[in-house]
Amino acid sequence: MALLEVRELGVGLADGTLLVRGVSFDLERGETLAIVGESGCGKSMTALALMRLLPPGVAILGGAVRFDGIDLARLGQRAMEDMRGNRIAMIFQEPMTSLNPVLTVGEQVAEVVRRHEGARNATARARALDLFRLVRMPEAAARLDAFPHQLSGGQRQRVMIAAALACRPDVLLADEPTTALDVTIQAEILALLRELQGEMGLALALITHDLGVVRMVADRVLVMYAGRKVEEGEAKALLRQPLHPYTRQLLAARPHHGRSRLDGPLAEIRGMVPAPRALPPGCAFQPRCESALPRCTAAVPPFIQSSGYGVACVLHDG
Amino acid sequence: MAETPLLQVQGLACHLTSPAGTVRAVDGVSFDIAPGTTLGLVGESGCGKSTLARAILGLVRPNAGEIRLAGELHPTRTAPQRRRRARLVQMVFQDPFGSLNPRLTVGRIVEEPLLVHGEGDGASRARRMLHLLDRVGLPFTAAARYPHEMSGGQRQRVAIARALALAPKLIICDEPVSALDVSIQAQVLNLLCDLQRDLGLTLLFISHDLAVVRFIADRIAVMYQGKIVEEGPAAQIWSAARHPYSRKLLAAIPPDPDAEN
Amino acid sequence: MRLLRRLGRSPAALAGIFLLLAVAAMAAAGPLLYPEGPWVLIGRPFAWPGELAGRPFGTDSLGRDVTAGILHGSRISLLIGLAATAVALGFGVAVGALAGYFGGWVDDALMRLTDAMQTIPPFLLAVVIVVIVKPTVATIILAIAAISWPAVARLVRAEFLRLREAEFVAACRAMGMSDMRIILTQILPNSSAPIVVSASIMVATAILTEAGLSFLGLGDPNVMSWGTMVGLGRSDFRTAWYLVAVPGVAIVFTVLALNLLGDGLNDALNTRLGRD
Repeated sequence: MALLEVRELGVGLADGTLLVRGVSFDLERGETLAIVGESGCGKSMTALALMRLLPPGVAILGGAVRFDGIDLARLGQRAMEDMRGNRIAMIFQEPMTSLNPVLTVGEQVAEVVRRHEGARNATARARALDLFRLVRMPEAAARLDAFPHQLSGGQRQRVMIAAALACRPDVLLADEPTTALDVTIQAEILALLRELQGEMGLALALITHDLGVVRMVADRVLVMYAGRKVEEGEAKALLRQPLHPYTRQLLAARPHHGRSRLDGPLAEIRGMVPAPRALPPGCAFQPRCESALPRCTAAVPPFIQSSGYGVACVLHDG
Repeated sequence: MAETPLLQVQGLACHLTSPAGTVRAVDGVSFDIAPGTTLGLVGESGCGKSTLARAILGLVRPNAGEIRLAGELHPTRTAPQRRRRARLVQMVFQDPFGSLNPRLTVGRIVEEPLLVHGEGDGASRARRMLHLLDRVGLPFTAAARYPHEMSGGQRQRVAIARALALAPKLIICDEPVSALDVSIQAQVLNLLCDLQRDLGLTLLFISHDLAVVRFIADRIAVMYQGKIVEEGPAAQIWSAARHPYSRKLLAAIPPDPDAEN
Repeated sequence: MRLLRRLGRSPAALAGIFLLLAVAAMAAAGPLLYPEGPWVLIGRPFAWPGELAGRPFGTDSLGRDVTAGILHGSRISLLIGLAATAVALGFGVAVGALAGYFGGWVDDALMRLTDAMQTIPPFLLAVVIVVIVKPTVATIILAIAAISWPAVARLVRAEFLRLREAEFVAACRAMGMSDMRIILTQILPNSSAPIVVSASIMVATAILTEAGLSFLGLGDPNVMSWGTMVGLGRSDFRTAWYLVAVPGVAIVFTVLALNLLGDGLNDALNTRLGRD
């Protein structure tokens, strides 16, 4: 049994419009799973659903989220609050808005410790200092009393990681944690996450749109499009030989290997991601797909799995 | 025969003062851009690239140095001077949300530069606006829509159409695709390349994304803490950069996803 | 318009609009039903509401028709409320826009002016102005405008400070647009939300201020407003309290209506901004 088992997760609006459609995956201890897709594919909603932090108007409409045997989707409010931060934690893209601007960062990390471990002030502060050292915060002791706006983007993200790991959770969800950071800082933060994962045996689910980041840190990758899972497999192999046309076209759309415009235009993907309420019939990617066949509009291709790899495409339905 | 560079920046300095002190956002920058070519300006946050862009655009008055467009200085003290400069250099901004007035229709937004400059009459302006929309790959029905009804990629196309309205020679692109999805980035980058080729534009392409800059630029300049630390042909910077910061930047880029180990 | 539809969904706004329409109806009906005006003596004094036929609100200490007073008074209240707000908006928006857009010494000078106006308690300032100048409808309008404009100036200044950094404003400067044109065609239309919301509150405050001035006997002696009626009925409060209650209730309902409309507008305008 995997540490986290998501089965046919459905997330949507009150009127029944689905933003996440029947997504299933496992997350093992010590593994980094990258969930990849562009805006509107439902990757963030999936992570928020696991934490039961969906915005107002959006709810889990179906499926199960089994964490260590417990179905998180059906857990009571109080029990879920005990889980959050304690056994399953999340960090977000924009640390400036995720941190309270009027509290010191040391205080915000100490608060997590106090909430879940009932520690007293002095103990909590000492733990906060330990955590700052854990996340390799430069001049950790001095930083405890700094306010978020006094820190750089990279330092703020370290604070978020410290708060998230305060209670040694089993699962860490990271929603685009480095997208807003400079590329040199991104490299440092991703390396930090990998190290911490190794030290603490975390299960890490990393949500990103950047396939280069996936190549850097992920063991397995799950590609999402229009709310559905379209491909899944071991990261390096999948990126070298993608099966689903969306994954292939997404890879081709970036300038790789020092390519210049003199080598010809980039391989665009024509059209746009469809709105959840206006999905095309059959395969959602079909209008933009270079390999589309007439039968792609007939039905949504089922996700077919075989020895660790899976893809939802009629070209590969055996 | 050497042509006059379209843009000549010489010893440019811009200081930003705040209660915390004075920051030299641009600290002695010099470079040229030959007409019809693209210079890629690469740097991370706080390096001063946006301030440099605004100084070239005429929105920020430099504390020192010169900016010459087509060989002439173009001061921006009076409104007619600003309009003269506007016909030479325009900008496409980063944020497809914030760079378009939410209260105006797309058609009005694209026509605005023509209105400000008193070009033609209502009919000729409308014709030019529709022509511009077509140039950037938008349907003519877009003219009646509002920015919030369009996607990020479409909004950037509107921003590009607006920048082209006065037929400027130099277009500054300040992180024009950074806020867009990867599949849309390719569309907009290809569009910029096509427009440059068809209209003979000169581009100053600013981005933190080295791979994108390598793709679109002829030459690359690397900026760090207000200074240009290295400049050269794009291929050379990409494969054999010399300055330690340039190399650090290149080393930090995520690998190509399909790379062999 | 989208705004009207969204207003229609807010019960607060609907209630407010309904009450305001009633007040407007009263104002329109006044000269039609009581062409002789509210000052005419029509019967015996101190008739209670319902005692005399055709005089639903009775008569006052001199025998004037209270109903006529209410209807004619609504015209005065609405006139002064709307006119004072219009003048205050015109001046306040201009001051706030210039201060917020240009900054520097312009901002400093205008804000010191605004501060100066706000250091004196507003109602007292209105009293002082009206006492110095002869109280007429026009001077009362100006006096109320004088105490109302600073608040809207600050709001507008805040909006302009925020919006002048917006990228679409930078784009307009880059195309050579003049400052005046940017202020009027770009930033002002995008600042309309707080202006509209505060306008409704300002009308309410203007009506209350006018009522207070008239109550103190500082109103225009040639017109009868609700405040005048409350003032006249004050001395007979123990025996004929309806003379104070009826106009008082009219004031309360109108101010309540405007506040409800203001709430509704606030919700309608801010949800749209939030969604974008």
